[in-house]
Amino acid sequence: MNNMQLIANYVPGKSFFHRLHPSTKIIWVLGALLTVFFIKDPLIIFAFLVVVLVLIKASNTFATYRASLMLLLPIIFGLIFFQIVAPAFPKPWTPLARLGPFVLYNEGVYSALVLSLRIISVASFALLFIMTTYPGDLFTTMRMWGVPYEISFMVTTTIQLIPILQKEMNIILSAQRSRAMQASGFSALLPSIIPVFAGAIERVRQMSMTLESRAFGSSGKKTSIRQLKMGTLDYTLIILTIIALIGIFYLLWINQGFDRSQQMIFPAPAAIILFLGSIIGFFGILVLFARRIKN
Amino acid sequence: MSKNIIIKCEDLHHTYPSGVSALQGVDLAIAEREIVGVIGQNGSGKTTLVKHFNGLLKPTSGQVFVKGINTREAEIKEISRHAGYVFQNPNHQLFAGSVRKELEFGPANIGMSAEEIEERVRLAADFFGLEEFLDENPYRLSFPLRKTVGIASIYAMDPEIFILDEPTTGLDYTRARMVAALIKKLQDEGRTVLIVSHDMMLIAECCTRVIVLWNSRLIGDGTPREIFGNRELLEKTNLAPPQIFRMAEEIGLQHNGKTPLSVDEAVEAVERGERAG
Ligand SMILES: Nc1ncnc2c1ncn2[C@@H]1O[C@H](COP(=O)(O)OP(=O)(O)O)[C@@H](O)[C@H]1O
Ligand SMILES: [Mg+2]
Repeated sequence: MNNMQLIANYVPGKSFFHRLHPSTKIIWVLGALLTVFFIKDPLIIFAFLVVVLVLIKASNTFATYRASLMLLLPIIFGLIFFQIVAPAFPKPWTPLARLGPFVLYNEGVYSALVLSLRIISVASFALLFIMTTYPGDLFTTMRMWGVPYEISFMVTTTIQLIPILQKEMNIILSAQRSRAMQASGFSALLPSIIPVFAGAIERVRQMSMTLESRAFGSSGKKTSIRQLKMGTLDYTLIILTIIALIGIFYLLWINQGFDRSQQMIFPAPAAIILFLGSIIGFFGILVLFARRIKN
Repeated sequence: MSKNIIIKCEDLHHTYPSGVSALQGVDLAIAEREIVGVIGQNGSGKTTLVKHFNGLLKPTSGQVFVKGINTREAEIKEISRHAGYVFQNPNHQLFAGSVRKELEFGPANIGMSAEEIEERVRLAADFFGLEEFLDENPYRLSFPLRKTVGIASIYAMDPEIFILDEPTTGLDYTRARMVAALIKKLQDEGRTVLIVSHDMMLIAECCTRVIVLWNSRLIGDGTPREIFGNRELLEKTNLAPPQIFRMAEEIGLQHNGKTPLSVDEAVEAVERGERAG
């Protein structure tokens, strides 16, 4: 595998999402984050996830998204596993089945579904934002919002460094494999990570010198070559979003977050399948990782 | 007498995942002990080609055999004991706390015994003049020395085939001369060497054979003299022969009846007063 890309970065394009002002997208991501973490009905969150997936597909970023998901899935599987046997819920828990030393609880299945769907849907939405926003535009937007110059610079530079480091990592892995390094396992860690860090430090040092020599940090007002305008569409969308958020939070308030943990009773086989699935998924992903690094 | 073929490609094609078609049907056979220069403009596919010879890249279609092993069916760590690939930038591989540990890494990976490793490290350090730096941290060394450590770390693995990608880039004249001397030594030890380089002086001086890549295809294959004497080919690929060769051609200087390839040959030719017809 020569182009291992684990963390999403900007994917050039001209889709609807690409054309939106970063401000609009940031408000959407924050709004989605707040909403999703107050909703307690897994079905509603699932519906939201489906919408996000459709948006990702529509903005031609699905391939990059899928690759980044690989990093998230082991965490999700781990979460499902632990929630089912030890739910983050007030006791008493309702047992559904027993598998060896593990007792699977109804509340566990419920909270596993809610938590994992929350994480996946918000992470997907955030990835969509990163994949469709040109780093320079993010910088301009942060400045527009009054974020200090240095911090805006740090954030956008870090985001841009990620794909570069990934590329370096690939070269380093092949250099070490040429010296017959065992491609997986703990022994492969040091030989691959040290050159990446050494390279990154060197790169950052050089960049800071380049910046200094181009008067980074000089006082006075800075202008920007890339101009970003909020269009009518952006203003309309932001106003609509705020109205919608108020409505959603009112609904969430009177319905207590659509908590259905008492009504949703899962059949025991479903709990067992989910539980075993999380174990198999967790190790499956690890094996897949190892194989990808190897070839 | 048929020569022993050590590397062979048959109708080799390689397309990167991005869709760039970097090799389009390369047929090539390299015999044991040949010193082959790979030249061509940037982006012509040189690196892509030689990365197939230790299994770093696998053919999209066609076959590559290294010592009779089909690279599709073998892992890199298996092929790399036969074919050592020296990366252009040494910083991409140096990780150990000392030059010694850096040199031990490869031999240990291919399962040499402790005594063998010690012997290989000693030979490599001696060969490259690194004895005094064995306990230094590689990152404290100058770039040319780091590059030398990179080459030595492959030499320590004792591969029969050496692949050098741009070995003189970033080196000063003296160090570049050392690379040339190193290749000569590898040749004396009976190894097969592939050199990807823009350094035509190095190619002219060291290689027994030169292949020319252009637009993902192999369009030239011959002795350095044949290649550098082929104006049409060089013009097409925008390559220039070494200055000394050009000058000798201009003034009709001859060395044993042929145009001199190196400064040494030219000097000898002048001393003997040998001229073309
Ligand atoms: N990892 C890669 N992914 C995609 N394209 C690549 C990659 N490496 C090289 N290429 C492309 O393949 C072509 C040949 O590259 P390369 O073999 O590096 O040429 P050379 O070594 O002769 O300069 C170029 O067009 C280059 O852009
Ligand atoms: Mg190259």
